Amino acid sequence: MKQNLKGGVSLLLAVLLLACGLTGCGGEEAPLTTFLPYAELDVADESVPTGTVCENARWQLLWDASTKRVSFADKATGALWGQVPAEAAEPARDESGRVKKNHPQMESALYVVYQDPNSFDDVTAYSYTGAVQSGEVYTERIENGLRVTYDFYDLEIAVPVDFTIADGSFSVSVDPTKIFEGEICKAHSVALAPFLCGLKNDAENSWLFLPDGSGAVVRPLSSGGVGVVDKQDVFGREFAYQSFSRLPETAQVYLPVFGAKKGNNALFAVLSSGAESASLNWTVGSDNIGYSTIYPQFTIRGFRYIRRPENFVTTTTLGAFKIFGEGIVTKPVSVTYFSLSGENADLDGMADCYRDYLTQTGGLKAAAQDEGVAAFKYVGALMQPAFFAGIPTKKLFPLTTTAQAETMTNELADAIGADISVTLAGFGKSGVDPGQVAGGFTVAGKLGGAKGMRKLSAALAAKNIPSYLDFDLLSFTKRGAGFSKRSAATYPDGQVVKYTTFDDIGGGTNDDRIFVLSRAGISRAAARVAKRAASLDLFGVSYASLSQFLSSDYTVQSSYVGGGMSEDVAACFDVARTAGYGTLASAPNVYAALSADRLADVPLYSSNFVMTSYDVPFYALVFKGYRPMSAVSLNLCADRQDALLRCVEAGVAPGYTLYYQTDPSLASSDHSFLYGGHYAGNRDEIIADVEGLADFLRSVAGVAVSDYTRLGDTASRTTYENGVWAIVNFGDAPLETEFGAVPAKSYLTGRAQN
Amino acid sequence: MLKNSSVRKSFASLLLAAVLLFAVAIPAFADASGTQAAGSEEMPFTTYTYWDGVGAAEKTKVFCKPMYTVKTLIDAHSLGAAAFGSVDDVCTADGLTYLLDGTSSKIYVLDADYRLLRVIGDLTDSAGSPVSFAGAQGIFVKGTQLLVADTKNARVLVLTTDGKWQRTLPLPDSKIIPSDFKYTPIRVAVDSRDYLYVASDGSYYGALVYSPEMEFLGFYGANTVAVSIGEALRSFITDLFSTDAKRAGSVRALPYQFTDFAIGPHDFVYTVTATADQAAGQIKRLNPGGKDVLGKESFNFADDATHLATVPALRAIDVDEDGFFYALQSNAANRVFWYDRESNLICVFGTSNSVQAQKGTLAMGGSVAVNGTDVLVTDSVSKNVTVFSITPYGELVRSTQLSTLDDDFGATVENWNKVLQADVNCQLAYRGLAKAAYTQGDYRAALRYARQGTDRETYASAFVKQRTAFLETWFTPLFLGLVVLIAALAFLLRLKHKKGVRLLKNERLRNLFSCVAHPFEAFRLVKEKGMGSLPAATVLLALFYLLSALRDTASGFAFSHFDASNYNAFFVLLRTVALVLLFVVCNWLVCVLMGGIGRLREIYTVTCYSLLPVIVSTVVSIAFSHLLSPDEFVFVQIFNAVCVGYTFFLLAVGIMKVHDFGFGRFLGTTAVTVIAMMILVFLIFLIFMLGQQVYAWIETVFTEIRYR
Repeated sequence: MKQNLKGGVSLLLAVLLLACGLTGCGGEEAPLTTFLPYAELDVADESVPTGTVCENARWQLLWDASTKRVSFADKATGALWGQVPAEAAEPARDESGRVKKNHPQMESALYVVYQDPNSFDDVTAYSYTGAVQSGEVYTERIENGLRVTYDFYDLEIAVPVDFTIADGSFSVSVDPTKIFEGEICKAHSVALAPFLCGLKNDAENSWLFLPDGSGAVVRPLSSGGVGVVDKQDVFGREFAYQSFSRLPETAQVYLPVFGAKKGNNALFAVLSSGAESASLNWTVGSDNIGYSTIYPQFTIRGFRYIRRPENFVTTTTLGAFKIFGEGIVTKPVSVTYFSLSGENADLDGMADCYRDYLTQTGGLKAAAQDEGVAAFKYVGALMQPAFFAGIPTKKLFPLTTTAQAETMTNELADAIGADISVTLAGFGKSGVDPGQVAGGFTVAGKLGGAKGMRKLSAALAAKNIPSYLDFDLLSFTKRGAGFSKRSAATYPDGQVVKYTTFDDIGGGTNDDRIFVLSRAGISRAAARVAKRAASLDLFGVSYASLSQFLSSDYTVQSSYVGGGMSEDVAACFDVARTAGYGTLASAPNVYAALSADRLADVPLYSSNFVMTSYDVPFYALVFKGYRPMSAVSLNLCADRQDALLRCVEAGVAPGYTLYYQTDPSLASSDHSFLYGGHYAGNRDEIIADVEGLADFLRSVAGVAVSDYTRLGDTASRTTYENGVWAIVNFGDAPLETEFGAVPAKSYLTGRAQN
Repeated sequence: MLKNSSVRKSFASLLLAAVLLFAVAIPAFADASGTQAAGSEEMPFTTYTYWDGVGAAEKTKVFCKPMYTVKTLIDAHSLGAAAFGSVDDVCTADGLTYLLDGTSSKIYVLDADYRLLRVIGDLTDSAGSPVSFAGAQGIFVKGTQLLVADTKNARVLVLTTDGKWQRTLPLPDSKIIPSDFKYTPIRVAVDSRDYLYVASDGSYYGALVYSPEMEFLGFYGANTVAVSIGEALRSFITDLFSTDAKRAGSVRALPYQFTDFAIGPHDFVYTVTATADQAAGQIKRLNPGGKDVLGKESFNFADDATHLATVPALRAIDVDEDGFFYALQSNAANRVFWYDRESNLICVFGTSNSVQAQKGTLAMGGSVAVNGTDVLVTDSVSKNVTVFSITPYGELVRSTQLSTLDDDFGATVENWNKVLQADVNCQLAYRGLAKAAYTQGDYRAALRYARQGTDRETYASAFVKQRTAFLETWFTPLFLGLVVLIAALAFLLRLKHKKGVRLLKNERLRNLFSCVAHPFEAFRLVKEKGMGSLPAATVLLALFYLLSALRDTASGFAFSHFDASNYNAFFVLLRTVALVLLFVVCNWLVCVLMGGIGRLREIYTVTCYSLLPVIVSTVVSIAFSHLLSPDEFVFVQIFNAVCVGYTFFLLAVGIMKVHDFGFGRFLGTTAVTVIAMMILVFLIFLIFMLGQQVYAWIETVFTEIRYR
């Protein structure tokens, strides 16, 4: 007995010693890349004189040493695009003859946003007032360009900005690893050349293009006041950025672009690097500035947004603020500008330009088209509060079983034809609610299980209907299927990323705690999906959450502030494609749209910002003919007829979200799609919608748009490469056109004779 | 004996496990709304409504298909006018819209397409002196008359709609008006008989009313202060012992002024009262005598405050020609609540955004006006007007609900079915279909739809009709069956008596059931002969709990307000099992000190035995809730009350017997027992709160360490 005891104690001691010994082991972590210390600021200053810095066949890069301004002259069109709009380059005079200075914001080529060390508030420093006026600007020639370093001496921040020219474009970029920062404050964002796309307020034939949702055109109209100042994050929601109040319901910036049309010229900008960490900011109609503009702002430092701890003393009134780690975004942030003129200086010109850009850099190719006349998203199930013998619990409520999905598809295909596509969402263990990663990589037994899914896949395959089973590879609430809390992404302070959602009505937090998969976890889950798809006999897989949301993961510096999301998402789609499955992206950001075979939930609307003049189908103009697309769900739109007209305008098939069975107890569910998705109530309208559109949609299936023209604020004409055209009248009055009258809230289609 | 002990242990373990399971299961309501939830694609707000009668909660939030969408945003720029100084009020008449810029002393007149027709500004009176209404806050148009509540100048201006001054109405000289009355007119309206109503800021007397001849008649429609009996008593006692100085320094509760009003059909005056602490009865419909005929004093017309950061305040109201009214909630959430003329909520639309970045959002809603089916809402911060227009679906709901309210069921069935095709969550549709089916005599369908639409009133009516029809068909066989059953029972009882057969052979169980008829003897046997059964008592307690839970969940639809999403049987456990155990323990503790001779198990046994009448009444209650309508249920309620009373009687007898107390001593110890129960509950809460504070302290320390 004594011996046994001794043995046990010895073994325990040995294990403890081993554990202690191993504590310091493990791979050596790579040193964190940080800003350069301001104390060691050493900038090469050539003091480049006024004049042409460099030029090529198309561009001339100009520097004015007296005003410290950079501008780009387009030799082909004669257009001049400068950090200060050409109209404001020469000092203007007011009515009494006095010189009117430009607004400091407009004179600045760079804004730096930093955190005030006392209040923790974000403060913006302008290069004009922070560096130019005090003469702390240094210039240096670089290959095909000029590097201008703005030294914010008082803040101990110095930012080198590179202005370069290429064959068909010019760029403005900042390499965060070359930024100097002192001990006073923490720089976290930079805005580049804010007024390069600046338009004089009330200028004729001028507008700004904002890629908000489907796309929006903004006229630079004077507001009689401070105008509209706002911003929208590129690529939508960032899961590691926990907001503490309900966010407004806005459309998303799916494409990292913006533009401005000025008379016969236009400037189109692409966020060529660092788009994941960017936002598009705008100032429209301000009387103080006199100009309206859209510009990008890049976050260059990882952060976590936290509630202000109780008794934490700051001068801010904000209830939450950012806390920063030392690690920064290591990839340069860059904007590439394209000059357009004549007929190209329009929306379709911008769409062509962006498509060319994607073809050259993103591998966009015209694909074999099976575009279809409608797309259906069947919702499998959701979790519903329930009770068992008085004990509160939750149960999976089946909305659509695999057998019911087959029934719906058969009925719809018989009525409108089999050129449709089907997405199956929420068929996992927790339905459309977060549960295990990817719904446990299975089909819930209540919905038919794996056997039912195989049967459904076979039935759809027999009709040549592409079908995609959706997997959520981003969020989870439960451990299981090989993933746990350890698989979650982390914040800069090492804490696990978890977010809560908000009540739509009251605005308070729901008592949920949703984890976000780490980037490594996402890759692992994607590999698992590819394997699982084989056992379910799937035609294809859909990654809706991965397509439309960003997530940062601070375990690896390359994925700070959403970094590397494009590559990681593309890799997930590649895994599925390599395994032989079709891929579908839902409401996809550009990187997902490039990676997937088919796009669903393509936006038809913008956020309807107060300064928006009208919506445009820019997203569809870019991808039409290159990816089969279907629109957002018409049955969930407030005005179905208007949504149908937008489908015609964009040439995309209508989408529908459907489920087969319901129950009165679901009425109070937090899922708002439930009101309008019941199949029995929608079937006849779907058939009527599609029967009206089918011929037109088939005539433009897989065909790119050759021209898009606005016919006033409430009508447009879209012409396709095969000569088919569609005139859509959104207005309340009939529209007279060269092809005849288009009734109010209706459309007219035809084909050019030649 | 060993086996018996083992069974007891198992039973105890099972009970404990069940209790633990309940306790652990509470947090299971953590709800993730998921990433798939989305509102309408094209609007910055989610349209929703509240279902009533779903569960115990007054309102249940339900998303619905959008009924209003954003038509346009009217601001100075869109009108091609100079920047607005403010947008204080909007009103509509004959298809024209009138927009008041009180700061600039201007009224903008817009046509049916919301384009600027003219600006009313430079006014002169009959003497040719300029008339400014800078600071005005309200306007109203009737026919060719335009009235301005000229707030800062303490008067009402009567103008023509083409901008000509007609007369000025200052504060009338009347004995009715107190000398310290401060006249600051903020809203003005005229009814069909040309009576003029003026709401003055800070006036708790109500609106000032003028005759068609513009003679001051008096005050109208003042709110009242609701006083509870306790408050009235306290006030009376305070007044009795108060000095003059104290009285002078005391604060009187004054009624709130109404913040907006509108004239509805038949000259009913709809008022809305915005208060910081009132979440009910905000809207009133006053008849010409100033009496509220809406009858919704305890109904909250705004959002359910329990889910909001701040108490919602309804600030503005307007009524359309059919009596459908639109109330604007404007502080934390700028939303329009759309009600029909019987105060059924149709939907809620609109949302807040501090900078009004999107069309359809409001930074601070000011006033609301109805133009046909368009709804116009002013934004006092952004200085503009958002025009919401009805969607085809909204129009369908509106017209069908109107027909339903008018009892015109001709086309409603088809239209309500169309509504349900577009939105399966439309409670109005289910209720409309239930009423239509009831009217058409299809009671089976009426029951189904009423159940789906939680319309207990129609359900009860249809239930009675359906039951009558059933009885008419089956009365003879049922009656004969009942007679046969009674005869058989009588025969069996006679046989049992004759042969001396005993149905219950267990003496303790026989004692249990005899306690109802012979409580003194049965409880004496429990005390003196040990004839109480602990397992039987526990079974009774478990039955008490289970039946209580069953009454909540399985009563007839007309009586049940069960909502699975909000129901937690743990609370039933607390008010049944926990309450009994608390009484038993406290009674034992108290009686041990006060000379009682009852043992814990005896107290427990008699207490549980005493529950027998309540258990029977619960069974009867559940059974009859499926057979009777609420109007007929009063007999069951009387039976229930008798059973509850008898339970207390049995408990009293049992306690007296086991402790060998007289009645007086029983009363004394019971009073002390109740006090002990309260102290124990207080201690439990104290420990719980202390635990919470310790947890919060540890969490704070952890947070501090983490961020350093």
